[in-house]
Amino acid sequence: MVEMRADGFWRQYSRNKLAVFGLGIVAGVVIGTLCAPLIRPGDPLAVVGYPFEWPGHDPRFPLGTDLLGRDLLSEMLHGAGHSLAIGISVALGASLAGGLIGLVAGYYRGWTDAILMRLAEIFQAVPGFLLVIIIVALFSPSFVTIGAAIVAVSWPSIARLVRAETMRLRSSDFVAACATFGMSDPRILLTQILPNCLPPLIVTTSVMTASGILIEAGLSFIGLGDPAALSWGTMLATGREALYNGWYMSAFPGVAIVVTVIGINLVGEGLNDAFNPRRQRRGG
Amino acid sequence: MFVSANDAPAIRATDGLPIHGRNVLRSPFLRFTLRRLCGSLLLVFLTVSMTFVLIELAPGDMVDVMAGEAGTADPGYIEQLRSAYGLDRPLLLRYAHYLQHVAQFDLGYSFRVNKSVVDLILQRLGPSALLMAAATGLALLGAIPLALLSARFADGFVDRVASMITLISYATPSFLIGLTLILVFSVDLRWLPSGGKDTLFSGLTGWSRFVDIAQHLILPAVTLGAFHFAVYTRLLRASLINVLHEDFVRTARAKGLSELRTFGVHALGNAMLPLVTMVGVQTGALLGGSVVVESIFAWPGLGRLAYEAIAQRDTNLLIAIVMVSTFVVAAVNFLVDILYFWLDPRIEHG
Amino acid sequence: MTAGISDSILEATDIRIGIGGALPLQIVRGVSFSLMPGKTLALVGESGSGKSLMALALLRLLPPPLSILHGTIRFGDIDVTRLGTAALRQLRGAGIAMVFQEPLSALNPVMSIGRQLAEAVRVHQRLSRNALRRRVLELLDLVRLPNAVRQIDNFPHRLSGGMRQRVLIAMALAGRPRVLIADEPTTALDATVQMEILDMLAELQREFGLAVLLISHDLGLVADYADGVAVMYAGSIIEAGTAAHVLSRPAHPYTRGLLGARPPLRPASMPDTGKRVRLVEIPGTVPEPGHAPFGCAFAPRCPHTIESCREAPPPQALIGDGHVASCIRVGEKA
Repeated sequence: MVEMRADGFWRQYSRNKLAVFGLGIVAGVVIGTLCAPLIRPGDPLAVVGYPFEWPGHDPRFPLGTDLLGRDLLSEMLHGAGHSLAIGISVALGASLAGGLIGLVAGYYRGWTDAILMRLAEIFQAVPGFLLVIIIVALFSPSFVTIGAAIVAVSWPSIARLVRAETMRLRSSDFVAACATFGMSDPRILLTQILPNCLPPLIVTTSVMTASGILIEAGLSFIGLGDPAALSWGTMLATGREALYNGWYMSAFPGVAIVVTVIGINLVGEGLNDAFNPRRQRRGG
Repeated sequence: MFVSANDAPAIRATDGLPIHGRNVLRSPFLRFTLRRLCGSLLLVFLTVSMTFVLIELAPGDMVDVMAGEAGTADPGYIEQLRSAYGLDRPLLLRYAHYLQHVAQFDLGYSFRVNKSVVDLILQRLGPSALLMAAATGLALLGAIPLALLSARFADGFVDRVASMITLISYATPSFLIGLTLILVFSVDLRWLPSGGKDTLFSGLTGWSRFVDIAQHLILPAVTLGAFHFAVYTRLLRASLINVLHEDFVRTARAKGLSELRTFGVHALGNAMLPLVTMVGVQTGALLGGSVVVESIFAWPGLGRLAYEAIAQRDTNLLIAIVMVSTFVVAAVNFLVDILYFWLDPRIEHG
Repeated sequence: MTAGISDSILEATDIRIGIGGALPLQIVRGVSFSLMPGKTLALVGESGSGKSLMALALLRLLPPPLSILHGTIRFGDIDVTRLGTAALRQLRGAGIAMVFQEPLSALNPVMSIGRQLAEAVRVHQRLSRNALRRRVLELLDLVRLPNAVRQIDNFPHRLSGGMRQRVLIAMALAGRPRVLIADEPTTALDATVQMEILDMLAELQREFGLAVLLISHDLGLVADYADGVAVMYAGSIIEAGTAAHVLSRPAHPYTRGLLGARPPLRPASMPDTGKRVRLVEIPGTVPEPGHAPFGCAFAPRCPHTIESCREAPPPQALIGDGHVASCIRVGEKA
């Protein structure tokens, strides 16, 4: 059984300096998102100044303005929220769907397992990004369709993971013991098996947030982003027009994406190490 | 201690002797191949069906989707489509019609370019394959030495630097890499062209043509391959570190073999196997990634075609591309499995 | 076994193996022995005694972070402990060769055994392709592998355990070594095959005048094949001497315990006196590697412990002709 005390876990996690650094990055992004309405109230898409102002020229716009004269800093802060929102909802959605399917498939085996895994295979057979594109194109881009499309592509790997863990745990002693004193299946699944699946699930989910952000950025870039929304991806799409003389418009959201994704990945690695304390990183 | 099963010969009918020449084509290998083939075909069939389900679920009926919102479709043609696809017929019949068309490789017609969709796709398949192969090649070219060094000096300076490089490669969206490369190499340095597959109307042949295409290929290939370079490096590094703990590495050293040979031949030979499978798995990601990369570099491949289809709202074309891509991925995975079977002598059955 | 130093082909002196650095840990705590050409020394002990590490140290194959903390190993007139990398590689296989315990995992699974053998030959000898092939077949013949010509292209997993071990021995002999270290060469094999392999090893030893270091936990095997025996416990040799002496007149309580815990043994060279030995269990467990108790390491489990046993590590006491034991009470009992 996995018993983790909060302070013990933090101690384990914080041994990895990079992981703490990653956490700092993520925290920074979240804080930036939350403070957006404070630092830059109002509509980020409002035209507030001359276009193509380079960062540093006008003290009102520390990050400059884009090709329509909108405040880049405002766009960055408000856009962060959308990117994060997509990433997190997709990760949670895929975990929920994949986790549920994995649990059921791994526990009940037989036909249920075969059918569910076939389904997973089908979703994995189509190249991920293409499937996302086709779903979003068919159902018109919006937060919901984009989110659903990315979840559709992401759930199979989570399902496989959870299924493997479930199968492993299913044959363990404590589960057998619970069955003998009449615990119902759903209870076993929820209270015994699921908690033990959590560590790898949490790690995978955190990394999935990062890929969710990347996919959303990609979609926006090719024009399938949510037209009503502002995200780092849409900023990149717009910035593409001004690449030669205004590359800073692409640099800011681009670097932001890279840094955020790196931060999330570092957190994921840190979580992984914290859950499985292995040999010391000293050339052991 | 005294394990009795140990002296029984490991393998059966051939008395523990190697299977030579023609024998290979018999039972285990052929059975495996056939089984995999059936599996792949089934998968393609199921995916095509799923595509049908998706189309059915989407707003508007099949023909709206097929004819596209471009409005270039002739009303007479739409009527023809409606009856051809039996949209007044029950669901199952529609499904059957759909399958029939797909099986006959009839994926529709594109009025814009005045070509059948199949022809259009086939035309773009070659350049896509070239780009994907180049990207994979470059990724492996970078990954193998880096992984070797990282694993050899695990947790050392090289390892940490490599880890950072791979993390950045992995985290940077391909369009960012692509745009940066264009800015640096095409605009500032003017070393390489910024788009296209070759210099148009140049009429180059032979070696000069080859060089010309290579020059156009390199930036998009690097862009597409960057992500995979990171994945392969990490995978190979982990695989190598695992293999290094194996006993036969110790035997190799005890024989007096140099570190280079121990590492480069014995360890690498074993560690490559998971990499082979991974390359197959990544084909899908390559195809998906090519949409963005090809659109940035105006590379005339399937990805660019998909991008154009999105821009034109040509859903029919998109669906066709998705289906062909799935087929390609299934085919590549199938070949990779065969290759793996061939490479790993331990596998006797499927 | 500690006859004139000039006779021995391999000499280990006060070897200490462990982890150095800030918190040092010693697993092998001062081991010395010498190997004579044409003779077999058996290094016996339970798991955790450090015997395998000792073997690895002889070829400087200790896995990091373990290393030789102290002592010298002399092969002929070469100091192995100070050898540079290139010379060390030359030594491995050609001067000293080693055969490992698990034949399946000790062979590269994706390389044919012919290629692996050819490799072993090529490291120390430049031969043409034909000559190489002939040498490989010659080696396979030496170890009596049936159907050698067809086995060359075969892969390790398709051979039986005994066959694989023969291949490993062939690989070890490829460089024409003077010393052969066999680390539990038959433990992973069937009883009948064990005898075959060991008989074959004995023959090869006679044919090539090899000095053999046979590492084992099995006293029964040792009795039949060893000329000398050294018993290791918790990182030190607690008794050593000729096989005849150690096995028939064990002086150290641990050796007695080991022998007592087995069905009656009799070295091939001794006549059957008809005496039967009581089956006795040694209570307690072997100390953790690196955490031997102060004083005599065996004291906690020894039925004859006295106060002074825990005060200092017992020195080696000479009992008979070349027979030593590390016990302070050795002289007392009959």
